[in-house]
Amino acid sequence: MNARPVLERAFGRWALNAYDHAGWTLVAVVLLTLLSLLATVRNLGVNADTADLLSPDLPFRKTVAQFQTAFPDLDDNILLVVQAPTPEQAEKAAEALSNRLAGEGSLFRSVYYPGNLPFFERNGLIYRDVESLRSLSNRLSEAQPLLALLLADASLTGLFRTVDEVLSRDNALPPELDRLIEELNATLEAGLLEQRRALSWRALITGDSKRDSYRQLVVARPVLDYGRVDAGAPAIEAIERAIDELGLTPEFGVEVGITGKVALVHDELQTVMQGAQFAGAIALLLVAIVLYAGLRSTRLVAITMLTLFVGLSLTAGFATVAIGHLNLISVAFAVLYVGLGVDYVIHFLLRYRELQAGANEPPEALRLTGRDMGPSLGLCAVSTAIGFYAFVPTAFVGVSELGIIAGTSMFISLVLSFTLLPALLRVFGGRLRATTRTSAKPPVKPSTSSWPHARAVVLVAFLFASLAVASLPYVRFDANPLNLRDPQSLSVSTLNRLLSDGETRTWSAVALAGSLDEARQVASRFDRLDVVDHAMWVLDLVPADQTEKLSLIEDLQLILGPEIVFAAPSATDHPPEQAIAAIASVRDRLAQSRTDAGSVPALRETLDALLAKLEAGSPAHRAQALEAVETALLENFSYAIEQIQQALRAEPFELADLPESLTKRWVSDNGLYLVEVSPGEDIREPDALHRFVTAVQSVVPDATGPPVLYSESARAISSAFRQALALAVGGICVVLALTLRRVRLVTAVLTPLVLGGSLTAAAMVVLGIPFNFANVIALPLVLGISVDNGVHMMHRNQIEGLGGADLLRTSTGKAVFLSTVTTLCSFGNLSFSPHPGTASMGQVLTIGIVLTLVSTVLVLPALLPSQSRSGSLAGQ
Amino acid sequence: MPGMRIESALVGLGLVCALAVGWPSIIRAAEAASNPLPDPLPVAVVESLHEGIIKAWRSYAGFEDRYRSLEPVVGSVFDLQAMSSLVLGPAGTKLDQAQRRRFTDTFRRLTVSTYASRFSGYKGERFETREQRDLPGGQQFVRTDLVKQNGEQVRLDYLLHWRNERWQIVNVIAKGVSDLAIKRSEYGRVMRGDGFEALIERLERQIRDMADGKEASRRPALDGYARL
Repeated sequence: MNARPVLERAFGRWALNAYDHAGWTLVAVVLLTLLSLLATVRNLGVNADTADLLSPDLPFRKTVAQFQTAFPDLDDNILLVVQAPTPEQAEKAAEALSNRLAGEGSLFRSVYYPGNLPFFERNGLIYRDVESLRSLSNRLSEAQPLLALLLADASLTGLFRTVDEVLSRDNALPPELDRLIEELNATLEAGLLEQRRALSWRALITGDSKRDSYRQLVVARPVLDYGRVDAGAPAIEAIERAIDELGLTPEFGVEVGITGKVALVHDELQTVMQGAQFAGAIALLLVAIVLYAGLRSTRLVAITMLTLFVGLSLTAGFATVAIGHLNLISVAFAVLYVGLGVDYVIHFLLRYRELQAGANEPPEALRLTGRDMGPSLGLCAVSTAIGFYAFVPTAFVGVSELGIIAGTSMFISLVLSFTLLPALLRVFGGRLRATTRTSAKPPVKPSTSSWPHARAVVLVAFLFASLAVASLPYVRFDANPLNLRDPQSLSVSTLNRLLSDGETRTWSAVALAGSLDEARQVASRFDRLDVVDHAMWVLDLVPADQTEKLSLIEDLQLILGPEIVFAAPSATDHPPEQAIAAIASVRDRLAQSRTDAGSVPALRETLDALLAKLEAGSPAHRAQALEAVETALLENFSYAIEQIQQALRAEPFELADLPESLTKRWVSDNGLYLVEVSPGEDIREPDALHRFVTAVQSVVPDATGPPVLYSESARAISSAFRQALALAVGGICVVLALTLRRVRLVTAVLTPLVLGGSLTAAAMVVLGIPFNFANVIALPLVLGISVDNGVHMMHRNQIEGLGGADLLRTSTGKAVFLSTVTTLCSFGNLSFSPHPGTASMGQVLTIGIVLTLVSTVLVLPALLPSQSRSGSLAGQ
Repeated sequence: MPGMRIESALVGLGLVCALAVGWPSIIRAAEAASNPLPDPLPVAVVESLHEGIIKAWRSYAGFEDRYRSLEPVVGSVFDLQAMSSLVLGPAGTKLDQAQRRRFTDTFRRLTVSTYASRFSGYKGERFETREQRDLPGGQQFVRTDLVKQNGEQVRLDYLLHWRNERWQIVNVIAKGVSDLAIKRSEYGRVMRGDGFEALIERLERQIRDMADGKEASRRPALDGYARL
């Protein structure tokens, strides 16, 4: 015996009961909602750790955990990228910043700035190779006379007297002075233009090739509070404050980029939230507008929105009780609920109004609505929930939690449609006036003509489906989480700049070795790989050829003399006239010199301009201007001298002499050795990433680090999706087969699903949108919607035997259309989110929903039989 | 008493150990004790150079005579071998034994010539030693002034190291400017540009010019002296 009539009667009675006991129903719902809200506010936490989106039992996550335990300082970092026009400015800024942050112990576990380690200050020269050390000692020898003279009087007057003296030695410009003339000119010129640019004495002295910008990296390990959505926010805000208060801003020539895992997540949350709040508001507004356009009744719109709100609250309450926290993916449950939950209400209301228009009084109309809509809405809830629950057994914890919440929310929405809705209709409803032309018409009578060109439609659909299936192998998955993030955000732009500049160490793979020998072997095997730039391990911190380098340094001490090696610069106080005289003297000497080599003519002009400006000003003004010039030219001098002096005190060292703050980043407490493998190509390219990770894993199968993590996560996620998709399609088929019991009907319902799904994938291939971690979530949703649509159309067809165009004109056709458009409104505007991941989710959903709707509306009617079922609607 | 015997035995053992392990340092310590500083003192080395200069400066009108008078003292107070290799720098590592010997000899003659050429026409100048200082790395620093008759002082510093069992001058720093640094820059440029032979030729020309009483070329050794 068919269960359908029993079910229909039960749903009818249910709706009628809720209507009859509207007061009690409302009281119960209100109490439950309040309870649920209270529980949510008090107990619903957020786990914002992206790593936890995947099951901790996955092998690669276990490796990461092992690595994190061994090297806690290397994980969950904020990377500060300090850039300045001179190396001194960059270093001073990095030093000031790291000292300041290290002082905020409650926010930072550790702040690591290698430039700040006395060890590196002293042994920097040992880390150069012999050849570069030789050429450096040549440069230093050449600079010795200049430095010696300047050390005796490191004032503006002293500097220009020194330049004058050095220039006086020869008619031809000594080659080592080229750079000094050039730098003097550049600094003074900038000063005249009121720009802040300090002369870099180190770049000048060491003769290292000139760059536009010098970079220092500071690694801060913040204290993270995962109780907050944005665990890194306090640390990042502290950094922003420090940058501001220390004046490390472009205005002072310094720029600090904030990136690293924590900053990336922070920025991502900011853009997601910003996008989500906006999208949420727009979605609600659009849904309300569309509802009004469809229902033409403020009262019904209000009832719908109220039901929606109650449903959301109850779902949140369920999430609190069942899971206890939301993750970065399951926070999307609200959007999903708005998109799908409202559909049930729409179907219910439209059918109710249609029946009322057919002269059924409210209690009876409600009973009939319950009876007509119950089985199909129930089937929808079950099949959509299957789509969501399908993720529960997968390793993709992020979506599996979303699945539990969203799947259950389908039943919450179903229950509310049959409980809260009738009660609300009784309290606020009364008799609904038919307001639109369509609903004013009496119910559609079965038309004799079936869907025109049904055969052609099916044929074309089949053709499209075949084409779409053929394009499936070209569907791409982009595993790079960087592409999901706002490229304009500081963390992403900073990281991109680092990677583009070849600082690939920020994105390197790591392997652990059990002993020094193993580490050596592993490192050399990595070094032999084509796709590897270099592998680094702890012994790379103990440079080779130390004896030779130290003897070069000893020679240098003799050549430079004790003043430069040990003495502190002293500056004499000169009156402004002396300074001006010294500047004028250099200007005159340049004017006499016949050489027009390099920057000589430019410096001549600049000095003319400077002297003119000094002459024009008042004495006070003049003194001030001279002081500014002095600062720009000499503020880095003592610093550079100090560094050279430090560096000349290098001593031989071995592994045991390395400072602990350094070695603990390479050798763990439990004796594991870290081998860091930098990629040789830009692994932001998916193919390059794949090549790199495969090669690294061929040497050390359980290597980890961001590249491995990304590619393994991608693999885990796509396998989770395949598994979930198979489960969902299988489960839905079984449910449909059990309830519909006819192959033709099951086929009819599944066709828009298969067609819409494959067309969506094909559209993404054509439009060049790859699947990514964010937009794959669209798939189960599209699945759910298309099943819903199919079930409703099929059911209506079963009730009244309507087919083809007639079916589309019923309240069901209209509800399918209206509910799809509301879903479109709530998701479509995600496309405009500043967060590319969210935006691509919006795009995929829009494409998927539109294509599904088209498949449902055009193809489904052609597949359904158009003869009337025996025992059609009683009330007609 | 037994305790006493053990103690003296320990002392004896300690002495044996010390002798076995550290006898060279003990001997040096003993030497140092009898003679507080190794002989001759760095100051004495510098002052013997200054005495030699003053003697040649005051006694001889001709370059040749001054040269002959200065040659032995320059040869003994300067570590010309070390200075040659420092002044050649990285470029010197490519030279063979004979070339290096040739350079050292030329460099020696250049140094003597420079002193012989610069210190002509004595007008009562004198050298005054100001201080002697230990430098890390076992070097010694001697700071002196050349005092002209009008009281004007020119600062001359010397850097000495312990080689060949005595203190030897390895660098002269006039008014802060290092002689080695200047020569190293100049010679390095010539070596890189024109090669070893060109460098030797250039130095020989400088020596000839100085012998002929011509003004030494503009960027010669001991720049500080040039500004006397």
